[in-house]
Amino acid sequence: MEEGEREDWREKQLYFLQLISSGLSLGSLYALIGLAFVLIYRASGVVNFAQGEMMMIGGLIGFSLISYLHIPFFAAYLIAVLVLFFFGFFIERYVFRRMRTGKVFSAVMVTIGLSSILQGLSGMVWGHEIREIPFPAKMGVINIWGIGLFKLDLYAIATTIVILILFSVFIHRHKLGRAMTASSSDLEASYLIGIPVDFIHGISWGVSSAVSVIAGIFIGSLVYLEPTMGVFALTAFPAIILGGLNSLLGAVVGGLAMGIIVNLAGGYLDPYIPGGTKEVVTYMVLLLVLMFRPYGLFGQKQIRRM
Amino acid sequence: MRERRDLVILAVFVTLLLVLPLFINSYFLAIMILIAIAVIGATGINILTGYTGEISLGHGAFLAIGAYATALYGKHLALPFWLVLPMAGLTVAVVGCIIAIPAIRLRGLYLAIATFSLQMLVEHVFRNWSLTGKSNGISAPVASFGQFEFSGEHRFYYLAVIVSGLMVFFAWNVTRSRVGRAWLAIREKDLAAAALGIPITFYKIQAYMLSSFFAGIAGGLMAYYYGYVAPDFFTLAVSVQYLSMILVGGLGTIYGSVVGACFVVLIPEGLRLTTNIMPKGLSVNLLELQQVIYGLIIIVVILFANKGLAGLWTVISNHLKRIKIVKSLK
Repeated sequence: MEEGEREDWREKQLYFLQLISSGLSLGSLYALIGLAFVLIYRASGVVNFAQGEMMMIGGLIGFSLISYLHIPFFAAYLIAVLVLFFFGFFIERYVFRRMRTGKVFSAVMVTIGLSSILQGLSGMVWGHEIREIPFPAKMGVINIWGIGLFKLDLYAIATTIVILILFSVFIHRHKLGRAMTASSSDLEASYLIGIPVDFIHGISWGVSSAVSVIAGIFIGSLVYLEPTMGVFALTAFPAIILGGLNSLLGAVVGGLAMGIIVNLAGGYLDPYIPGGTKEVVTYMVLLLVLMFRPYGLFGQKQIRRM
Repeated sequence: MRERRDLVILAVFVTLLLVLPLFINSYFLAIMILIAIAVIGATGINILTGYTGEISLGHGAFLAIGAYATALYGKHLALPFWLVLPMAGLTVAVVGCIIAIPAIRLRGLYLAIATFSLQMLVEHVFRNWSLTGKSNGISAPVASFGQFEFSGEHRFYYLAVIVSGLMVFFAWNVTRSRVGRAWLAIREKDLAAAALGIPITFYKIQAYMLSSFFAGIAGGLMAYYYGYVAPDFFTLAVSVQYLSMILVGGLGTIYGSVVGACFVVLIPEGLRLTTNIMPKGLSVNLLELQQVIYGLIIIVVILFANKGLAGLWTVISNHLKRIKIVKSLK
C-alpha cells in the first residue's frame, strides 16, 4: 500500500518535472524571439510584427541552401543569418528611417504590412509544404534524474544564454551599445553629440533579424518550417510583455517563465476545460500583466511628461 | 453656394445607390453588400482609432460578438429582426465599455498588444464554446419585417445600404459635435485635453462604446447576410483589414472610412479580374498575391500619403487650385 503510494507520488513528480523541462524548451524559443524584439524596441521604439516572418524567411533560405545546393548545415545557416542581417539593415534604411518621428501606430502598421508581404512572397516561392530543418545530432536524448531531455532543447537553451550574455555585454559595455541606449532615450540630443544614430538603428535591425533566424533554426527543427510559421513570433508577445519590453534579461526570464506556464496549464488544466488552455493562457497572463504591471517584471517604468 | 453643391452631389450619389440594382447583376450586388457592411465597421473603428487615437487590433472580435449575438438572439429568443440588430449593437457596446475600463490605462504599443490578445482570446472562446457551435459556427435566421423577407441579393442590398447610410449619417453628425471635437483633442494630446477640462476617461469610454456599437451592427448584418456565423469570419486578419481600411481611406474622416472600405473590399475582386485576363503561364495563387498587395498598399500609403486617399484628394485639389491661381495671375 505504502509502496504503491510512493510510486504514485514519484510518477506525479516525474510528470511535473517533464512539464517543466518541456516548458523550458518552449520558453527558450520565446526567449530567443523575445531578444530579437527587445533589441529593435530598445533602439527604435518599434515592436516589429514582421519578426516572425523574418525568422521564417531565414529558415527557408537556409533550408533551400541545404537541400538544393547541398551546402553543409552550419555554412548554410551562416549565409541565411548574413542575408537576413542585410535585409533588416536595408529595411531600416529605406522604410523605418523615414518614419522615425511619426506615430507608433504608423510604424506598427508598416511592420504588419511587411509581414503580409513576406508571407505572401514566401508562399509563392516555397509553397505550403511542411518542412523540417535537418539539424545535425537532433535525435539525441539525455537522461537526467529520469527525465528525458532532447539535446536540441539543450542547444536552444544554451544558445539563448550565450546570446543574452553577448547582447548584455554589447549594450552595457560596448561604446555602440551605450550609444544605442542614448539614441533611444533622446534622439535629437544623440544627433547633437555626434552619435551615428542612423548606423546604430540599421545595425540593431540587422542584428535583430539575424537573431530571429537563429530562433527560426530551432523552431524549424523542433516544430516545423512553413510560410505561416511566423505566427509563432506573435505568441511570444505575452512573454516579452511579462519580462518588460525594454529588458534583455526580462525577455529571457519572461520567455522561460511563459514556457513553463503554458506547459503547466496544458498539463493540469486542459482535461477540465473544453478547447484547452494551452493556446490562450499566455494571452490571459498578458492581460493580467498589462492591468497590474504594464512595464513587466524587469522593464523600466516610464514616466510621462507633458 | 458650396453647401448647395455638396447637397447636389449627395443627392446624385444616393439616387445612384438606389437605382443601382436595376443595372448590375447579383454578383456585383453581393460585392456592394459587403462594401456597405464594411463601411459600418470601418466607421466604427475610425471613431476609436482615427478620431480618438486608440489603436485597436481587436475590431474583428467586436464584429464577432455582434454576429454571434445576432444569431443567438434570433434563434433562441425568436425576436424580430428590427429588434435584434440594435440589441446586438448594444450588447457589443456593453462589452466595449467593459473592455474600455482597463484599456484606457494603456497607450500606444501596449494597447495594440492588449487588443491583439483580446482578439486571440475571443476567437478561441467562439471556436471552443458549444453554445456558439465551435469551429462550425451556428446558423442565423433570415431577416424579415413582418411577412416581408430580406432574402436574395436585391432585397438585402437595400437593407444594407439603408442601415449603412443611417449609421454613416449618425457618425458624421457625432464627429462634428462637441463629442467629436473632444475626441480629436484627446488624440492630439490627451494631457493637454485634460488640462482644458475635457473629461478624458468619459470620452474615451464613449468612443469605445460607440465604436463597438458600430461593429455590433456590422457583425449583425453579416450574420443575416451569410445566414450563418463561423469563427473563420473574424480572425486577426479581419482586424488588420479594418485597420488598413481606415488607414488607406484616411484616419479621422468619415468619408475616409467609406473610401477605404470600398478600396479594401474591391482589392480581391480587382485581382480576380486581372488574373482572369493574364496569360495562363503567369497564373499565381490569388491569396498570396492578395497578401503581397495588401502589404504594399499599407506601406506605400503610410510612407507617401499619410492622410490616406481622402487626404490625397485634398492635396490634389489644393494643387489644382494653385495652378488655377498662378494661371490667372499670368
